[in-house]
This record gives sequence, structure tokens and C-alpha cells, in this order.
Amino acid sequence: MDDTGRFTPAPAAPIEDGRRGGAHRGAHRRPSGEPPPLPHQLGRSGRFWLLMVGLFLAIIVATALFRSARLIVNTDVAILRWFADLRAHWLTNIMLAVNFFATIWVIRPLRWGTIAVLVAFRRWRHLLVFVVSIMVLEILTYQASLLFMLPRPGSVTILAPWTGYALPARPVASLAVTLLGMAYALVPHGRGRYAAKVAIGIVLFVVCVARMYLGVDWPSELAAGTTLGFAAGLIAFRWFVPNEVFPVSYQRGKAAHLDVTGPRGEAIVRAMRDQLAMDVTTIRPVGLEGSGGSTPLRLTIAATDAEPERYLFAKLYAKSHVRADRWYKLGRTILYGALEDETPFKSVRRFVEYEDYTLRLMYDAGLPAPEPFGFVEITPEREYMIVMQFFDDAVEISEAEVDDSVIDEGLDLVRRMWDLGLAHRDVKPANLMVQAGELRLIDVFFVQVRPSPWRQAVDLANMMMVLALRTDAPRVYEHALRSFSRDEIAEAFAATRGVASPTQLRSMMKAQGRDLLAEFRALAPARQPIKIQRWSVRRIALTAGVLLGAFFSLALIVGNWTVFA
Amino acid sequence: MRRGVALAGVAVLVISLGGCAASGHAPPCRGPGDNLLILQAQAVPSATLIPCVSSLPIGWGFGGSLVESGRARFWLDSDRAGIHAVEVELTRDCDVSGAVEVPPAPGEVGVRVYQEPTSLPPAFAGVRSMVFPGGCIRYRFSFQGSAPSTLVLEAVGALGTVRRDVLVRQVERGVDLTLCGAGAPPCAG
Repeated sequence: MDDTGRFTPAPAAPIEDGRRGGAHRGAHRRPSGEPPPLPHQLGRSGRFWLLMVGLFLAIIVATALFRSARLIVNTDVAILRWFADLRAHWLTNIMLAVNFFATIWVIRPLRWGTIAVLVAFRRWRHLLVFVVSIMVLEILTYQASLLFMLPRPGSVTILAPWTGYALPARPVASLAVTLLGMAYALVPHGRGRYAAKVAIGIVLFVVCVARMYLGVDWPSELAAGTTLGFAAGLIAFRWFVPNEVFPVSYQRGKAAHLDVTGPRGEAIVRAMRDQLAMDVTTIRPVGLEGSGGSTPLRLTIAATDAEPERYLFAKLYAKSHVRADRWYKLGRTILYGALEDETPFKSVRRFVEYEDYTLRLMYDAGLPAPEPFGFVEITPEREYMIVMQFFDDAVEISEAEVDDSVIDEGLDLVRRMWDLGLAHRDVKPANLMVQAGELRLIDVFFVQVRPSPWRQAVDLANMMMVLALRTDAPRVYEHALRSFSRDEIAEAFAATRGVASPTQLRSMMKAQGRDLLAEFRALAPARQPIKIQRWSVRRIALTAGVLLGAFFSLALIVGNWTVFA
Repeated sequence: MRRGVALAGVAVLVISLGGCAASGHAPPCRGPGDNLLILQAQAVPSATLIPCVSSLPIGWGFGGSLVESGRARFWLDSDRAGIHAVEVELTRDCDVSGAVEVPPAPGEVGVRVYQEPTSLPPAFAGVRSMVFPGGCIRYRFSFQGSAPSTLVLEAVGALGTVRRDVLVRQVERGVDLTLCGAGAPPCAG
């Protein structure tokens, strides 16, 4: 990574085994047994905590099955006696002070402070995961303590206050899940979070030492409590708010997507070289602020005998994007019913295959979409990258000059999609670029073949509103009459309301203080709004399921509020 | 969809678990050292007697327990006297200034017993305190409206105490640990 934020890979190693005739002559088939560009590996912390969870389970089994066996007890007692022999008045005072970190007087302010910050930054999903992970941990540890009913340590005098049974060490588990939740909910991904996790590890270690010194917990139960707390936090945050989709950031437009430096950067270079026979010299994230579902990149492709150095556009997709798409479609199904095809993608491979298909469809139809170059596999079934033409020097339509020619191109684009039986479904300023005075359409992931008439009508309305952002409604309306009938335009604005328009488009109209929807409706013939609600057994069942889930969640929070707070 | 079902399942499980917060069993007066008995003894190391349940009459059940350093409580539910009808509390000492001393029951050896009715029928409530060297056990009765106050006799008959030195020996034999406090050899630290 250089100081401009670009990743510059190391020079390519020479091909020694003669599998390729030379650079750029052809792709390299990955033989059986050869690892993919980026082999799937559990992170260091993931491996460590998986090991710890295994250890915890082993302790549980050993305690449950071999309670009379004295190995664990004897070891624990030996450790506690060793600490007891170190006891001195001044050291006891220090340890009591350290132990204060594992009391409600510290844990509660930390939790409430985190909640306040998450509310202030409107990070609702992180907030929900933070609260629920704590509650689940508290309930599970409480139930585990009742299940095993392990008394407090014997043979040493207990010097600190305690509550309930000893297995697992609940105060330490509470502190661990709280601190880890804070690290994942408040600290941006990267060095800061890594440092936070190291600091948490140190704090927990010191607290555990203090509690052993004070004789208040068994060493093995401290290990179990710490492991449970860490594991609960890690699983909850990595599963429900993965950083690739829900990054923690305090700067606009700097949201962290998939990190394309380090091993992933190397993997992208290798995948492009092996699978598309292209040598990537730099990888640069672009347009992150306008991208909610992928990591958009600009790749610099080295010059060849046939072509000069050039840019390509690429989008990196991971499994978390499939999960996000699934939630999005679930939300749409509940809000509208089966208005459109809301079948979720089963895998990230299907996800990227579909975009590749729509890209080729649009390009082959002669629409001003980017030329497709296929996609590459980064990690099988986990990460793929789709590659397409990069529109050099193109600017978003909201920042470009919109003249009559651009207006006509935009309207003609919708007309041609109608004629081809297509709908873009995401017509907004961020997806319309102007390159040398010509309109370009990007991000075709949502394109649908044989869409509903309603969706096609919405495409037209959104296009007209985008074009009017930099001009005015009467002018766009006049141009639209060259390609569409009055009834078709009336249908478009009867179909479009509220969330049918992308958020970016609505925000821009609001920022300009213009109600373009009303302006166009006033120009077009009057027409009753088109009903978009579709009721079905599936929608009712899904809605009931979600409401039930919400009810249970609420009941969980209310019923265990004292456990949490 | 499958994930949603799984999440719903986890939520139901967690809530179900939450509803079992009072699970566990009554500390028995006979048999080897019970963990709730040991935990109570650890909560009040000076107490020479530890409260327990000798036998629960029909209609009575163990409600739950809450033990912390300095204080141990468990409670019994009754089908006639209601939920949390009797709470048994062990502390190092207790204030009996407003109570009247009464003769101890046949099984209450070596204790001074005090009674203090706080509410007469139809909603009976009262406190029975047993003071002994190093501790105090209190039975707090709180019966629902229609329950007869004679249920107090049933409850008192169901409850008892275990001598700490007996429990110390049981723990020593069972798990080779010293139950620190009264009646035990000195502990480390």
C-alpha cells in the first residue's frame, strides 16, 4: 500500500515450469491440490478462541463426568495456594483494586456508555448485537452455574465479595463480552481494533490473576468464563455484523470494505494473472461511499504488445454480501409481498455469476454498459471478483453537464430496456456516468429480465427525475414525449412513490428542496396510483415470523433487563 | 430462511432457559455434603449451623436460591401459601430487637428463637429468627391471602439445620478440600 492508498504488488515471479508460454498468452489452470489465490483460513484470534472453546468444553465434560476425579481440583488448589502464599497487605489492596474492574460498578457504565455512543451514531445493528450478545452470555452463564452448582474455592480464605456458584466465572465472562463488544462496535477494523483486543486480553489476564490471588474463583473456571465471554462476543459480531458489510467508521466516505492490501491484494494479482491472463500493477478502492454491497476497485493493467496500460473496474464480493442481500430481500418481501422476484441467492458464486450474466446481456444488447471481462475466483465459494471496463474520466451525472443530448440518451436507454424486456431497478445518479458527453450506465447487478410492468415504469420515472436534477421537469418531460406516450409517463409517476426511488435520488431532491415527483405528476395526465402491495400466504407467514422474532427479542430484553443492566 | 428459523429457535431456547432461573434443588439435611449447603457455608464462614430442608411436605417445592458472600437465601413455594411463601436466610447476625423470644422447637438445639408477626391473616406474614454462635437463620413467611397461618408449622417442620463441623468433615472426605471457617483447620492466606 503506498501513501495514496493504492496497493502496489511485488513484481511477478518468473514462470519456471513452463505451464504458461509467457505472460499474457493465456490463463493458467489451477491443478488439483494447488491452493486457490486466497486459501480460506480462520483468523489468528479465531483459531485461538476455537481452541479455547474446545478447552472449555473439555473442562465442562471433565467436571460433569469426573467430578470425583481430583486432577482438576488438585491443580486448581495448588495454584490458589501458591497465590495465597504470596499474600501481603499491600498486594491484597492492589488486587482488590484490580478486581474492581470485574464488578457492576465498572461493567455497567461501560455497557451504558457503549449503548449511548451506538445510539448517537445510529448504529442500530451493532447496538442490537451488542445488547443481545450480552444477554445471551449472561443467561447462559447463569444457567451453567445452576447446572454445575460448583462451590467457591476451598482450602484458601476468600478475600473478595462474590455471588453464586463458581462455574463459570461470571464476572469475568461479563467483562470479557462487554469489552469485546466495545472493540467490535466502537473501534474501526484494523490496527486499532487489534490493539484493543490485545489490551482486552491484558486486562482480562490481570483481572484473572487478581481473582486467583483473592481466592474468589477457581483457575479453571476463570478460563471457562473468559473463553465464554470472548467466544460469545466474537461469534455474535463476526456473524451478524461482519466488517465487510457493516464497517465501523467515524468518517464519511471512508467506510472500510474488504481490505485489498496484504494477502488479499496478492491474491487478486495472482487470480487476475492466472485466470484472466492480465497483470495487475495497482489496486485502488474507488467509490466506496456509493457502494453498499461490494468493494469497488480500479485495477491498473500492465501494457502488453497488443494494448497500452489501462484501467479496469472490478467488484469484490464475499459471503457477507450474500447475507446482506438475503436480509434486504426479506425486508422487501415483508414490505411489498411478491411484487418482484425476491428469491435470495444461495451462494456468492451464484451472486457474481448473475451479475456477469446481466453485464453480458446489457453489453451484447448494445446498451452503454461496461464491457464484461468475466470474474475470478479468489477463495472458492467465499470470495469472487467481477471485472469490467472502466470508464476513464467519466463523472457522475449529478456533477456533469446535462444537455439535451444526455437527456435524450437517458430516455432512449429506458426505451431500449423496455423494448428488450429489461429493467435496471437501480436508476440513480451514482449509476449514471457521463463520459465525454455520453451517458453510461453502471452497476447492473439488479437488472431483471422480463420484469414486472411496475418496475419498468419506475425505471422511467427515476430516470426522468435524475435528468431533471441538473435541468428542470418541463424540459425533461418534453424530451420524454419523443420516446414515450403521455399514458406511459403517467403510468411511471403513478407507479413511483416513496422507497421505489433509490435513497440517493430522494436525498438529492430533498437537498435541492424540489419535489420533482409532484412536478412531473402535474405535467403528466392524471392517473390513480398503482397498487404495489401483493398479499400471499408466504408474506403473511414471513411477517408473522419476523414479528414473533421481534416479540421474543423484546421479551428477552425486557425479561432479562436486570441481568443485563 | 433456515437462519431465521435457527435464530427463532435460539431465542425460544434462551427465553426458556431464562424462565428456569429458579432451577436447582433444596439443600438436604441428610446425606453427603450438598453443593448448595457448601456454598451457604462459604457465604457465612462464621456460621456454625447451615439451613437445610429435611423433607418437603406435599404441596411444597423448592423455589430457588441466591447466595453471595455474607448472605445466603433460598425459598420454598407452596400450592396453598403461594410462590416464595417462605424464604430462608443465613447471615452472620441479625436484629431481633422487635421480636419476642419463644422456646425452640424440638430439633432446634443450641439456638435462641425469636418470632415477629408482621401481618396477621388473611395475608399472614412473619419472621422467625434463630440466633446461634457465628450466625443467624431467618425464616420469612409471606403467605397469599387465603392461606391458613397453620402452614407455618408445616414449613418449620420441613426446615432444619446441619452442623458446620459435620459438613466440614464431609467436604474433607469427599473432595479433599477444607471448607474454611468455623470448625475447620486454618486455611491458606
